[in-house]
Amino acid sequence: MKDESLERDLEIVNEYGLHLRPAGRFVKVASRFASEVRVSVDGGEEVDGKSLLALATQAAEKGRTIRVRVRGADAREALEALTRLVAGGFAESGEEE
Amino acid sequence: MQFSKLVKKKNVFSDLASPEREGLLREMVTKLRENEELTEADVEPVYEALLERERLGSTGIGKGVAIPHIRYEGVDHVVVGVGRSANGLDFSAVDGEPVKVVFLIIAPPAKNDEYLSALRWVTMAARDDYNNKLLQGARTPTEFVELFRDIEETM
Repeated sequence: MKDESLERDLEIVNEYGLHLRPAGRFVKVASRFASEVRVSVDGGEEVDGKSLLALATQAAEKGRTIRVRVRGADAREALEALTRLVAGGFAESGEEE
Repeated sequence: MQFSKLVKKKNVFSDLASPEREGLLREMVTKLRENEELTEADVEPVYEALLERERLGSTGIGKGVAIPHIRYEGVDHVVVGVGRSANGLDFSAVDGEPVKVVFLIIAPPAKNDEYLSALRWVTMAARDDYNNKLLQGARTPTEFVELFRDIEETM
């Protein structure tokens, strides 16, 4: 499969924003894919979306938008999975927040 | 972000003795109680909530730093305790490394923005190799609070 480079702006919709646990979930989902995943907020530094320590530096409040950029053979699938996660408020097995 | 303003020097506990995570959290909560940041009634709920949060996944974010934290209605402002374990301890951190510097954060739900801001601050400081080395090397409450101010100037 050919490498693809895709990006999408995703709004943080859950009440408490991109705090540590949502960041952990994002890292977990991102890490399932071979593609490189990069995240930035408001045109700031772009960080590794597979590193909890890096992603937590971008802890964004509800209503803010994160830019997710993926590159690799499974970029499309990765971006879809991450979109679902963020749009779903990072919910994990029905858990709140 | 004025993280340093959230940290009172008396709430920097630079000689924690506990060799493991639960004991260290207990030690820090007890000291916050002694400093009257928490009431006696807060102690158990806060400690239990911190343990529960750790069960959901370690707050050891890597590079020798942990951020145990909870949202808690019983405080009206963000309470931060800073702990130093001179020899480091096993925190089940994401990178498996021992944790030496602990930022314990108790935030009222209404101050979530301040919590997120503190989270950004701590992770930026921990991620930066230079600042992280200084964090790991600080020994006294005075050194910690001065370092926090120094780090702030570089952000």
